[in-house]
Amino acid sequence: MEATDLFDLTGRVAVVTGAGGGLGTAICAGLAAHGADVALLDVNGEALRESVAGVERTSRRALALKTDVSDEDAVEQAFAEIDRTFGKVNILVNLAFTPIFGPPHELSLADWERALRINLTSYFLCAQQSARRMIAQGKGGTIMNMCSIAGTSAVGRGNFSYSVGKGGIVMLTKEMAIEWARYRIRVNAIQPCQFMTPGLKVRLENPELGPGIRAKFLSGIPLDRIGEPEEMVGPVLFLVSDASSMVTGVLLPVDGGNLAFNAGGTKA
Amino acid sequence: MEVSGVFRLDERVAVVTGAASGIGREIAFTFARAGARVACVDVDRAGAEKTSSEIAAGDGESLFAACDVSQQAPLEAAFRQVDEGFGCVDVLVNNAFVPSHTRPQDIELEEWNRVLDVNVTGYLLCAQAAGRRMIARGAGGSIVNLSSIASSTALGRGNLAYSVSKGAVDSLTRELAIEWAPFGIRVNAVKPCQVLTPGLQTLIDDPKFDSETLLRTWLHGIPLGRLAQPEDIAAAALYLASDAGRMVTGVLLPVDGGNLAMNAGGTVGW
Repeated sequence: MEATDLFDLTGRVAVVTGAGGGLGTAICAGLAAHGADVALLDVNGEALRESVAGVERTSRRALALKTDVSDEDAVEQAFAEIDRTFGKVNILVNLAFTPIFGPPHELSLADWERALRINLTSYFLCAQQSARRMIAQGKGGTIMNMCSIAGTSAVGRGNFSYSVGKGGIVMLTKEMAIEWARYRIRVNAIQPCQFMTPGLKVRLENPELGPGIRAKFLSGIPLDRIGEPEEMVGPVLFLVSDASSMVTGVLLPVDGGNLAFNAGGTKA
Repeated sequence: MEVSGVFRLDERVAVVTGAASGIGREIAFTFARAGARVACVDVDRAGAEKTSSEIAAGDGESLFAACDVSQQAPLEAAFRQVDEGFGCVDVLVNNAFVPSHTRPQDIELEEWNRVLDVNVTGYLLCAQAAGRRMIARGAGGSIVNLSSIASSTALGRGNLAYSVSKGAVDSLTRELAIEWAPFGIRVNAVKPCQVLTPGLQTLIDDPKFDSETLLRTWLHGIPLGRLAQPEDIAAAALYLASDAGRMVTGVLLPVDGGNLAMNAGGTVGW
């Protein structure tokens, strides 16, 4: 086997949720560059334009689907459209999330429920639709759930509902990995630290968090820099390709050393 | 502090290593107040004797034995002293350790070996000596290993050998818990954050470190905003050693003011 074949996705269909976001654009282009056709889902149809262009530049096929992935009917319709266009699903990359911030004592029930529906339930809905197809196809498949360092450690500063959703993704990943192992569907998650997406740029400029927020992020990252979206492509490709054929139920940090590092540790 | 109900250790024999000072000394006192007969083991003979005689002065039952826990023959002799004095072993607290604050690029094999000998092999030898007695007697037992927040997260500032030894303690804890569960021997670990002991004070006073920076860095990582006291650790050790923890084995229990729950780049009380 050629070294590069391990990561080859030629002939496979990948579904990516939150495809119009900062990480989504880089990941969709990366999947296509390695041979996959890509169905791009995002609640913001406009945001998909750049991601679609990135896929088409590689001459792979792109299917843009404006979809609220927290809505079961909408998810079913999107997957029906994927069936009609591509006829199969081999890879799911769950990225969709909404940034809802607020400390536990102030967060409204409505915001809490919305955060969990978009950040957690959407993963379940899309995984279910994908897995049903993968089981019927009988050829296995891979699911990559975007988790976070916040899935296993508390970051404070109003990340409450986000972190709880990510904690849910930890167990969603492990349970699905066990349940679906017999169908050769592998389910893994990535735990990123802060990545320089448009969403993070908004956070960095949030006056409520103060000018020190960037330094605060960096204080927890031994590699001493914020991640670039392109740096997420390699880890995702590893987990969705045959390169990781014996890997399932795993949480892979892509965090510049953050989770290895104690909150009272010394960086240098 | 009065100890009541399921936390009591009446009639039980507890061996506490590193009992001359700091956490081990506090655990020895706490276990004695809970009714245990306490064997104080330490390489520091005078310190072990002092803890032991203070327990006796407080109407507790205690003996002491001086030994380096990484040396098998002296260690076996210490356990024979416990056999002669108390007749059995119900509880072992593995606490004896040597600190290490040397950067990875500078540490020499001799220091590395010394840290692993005491902090890991010492735990094994004591667990073996206690475990064999517990198995032979058939009445179960409880082993509490002092681990650290450093067993699962990196502290930097030259903690390499110490952290590696604590990582090994976590695995030792889990493996022994599985191996000895059929004998009713429970094996657990406590993971403290920085505890205000004479040992920590030595570190604070070490000219190698700026004490203010050190304290600020530690406290930054402890959401509860204070260093732990030896009593905080002794209470957790008592929970795990006593019947209060009778369904608990193979567990690594943080007693860390929230340190391990917190992300290194997290914010407390924004």
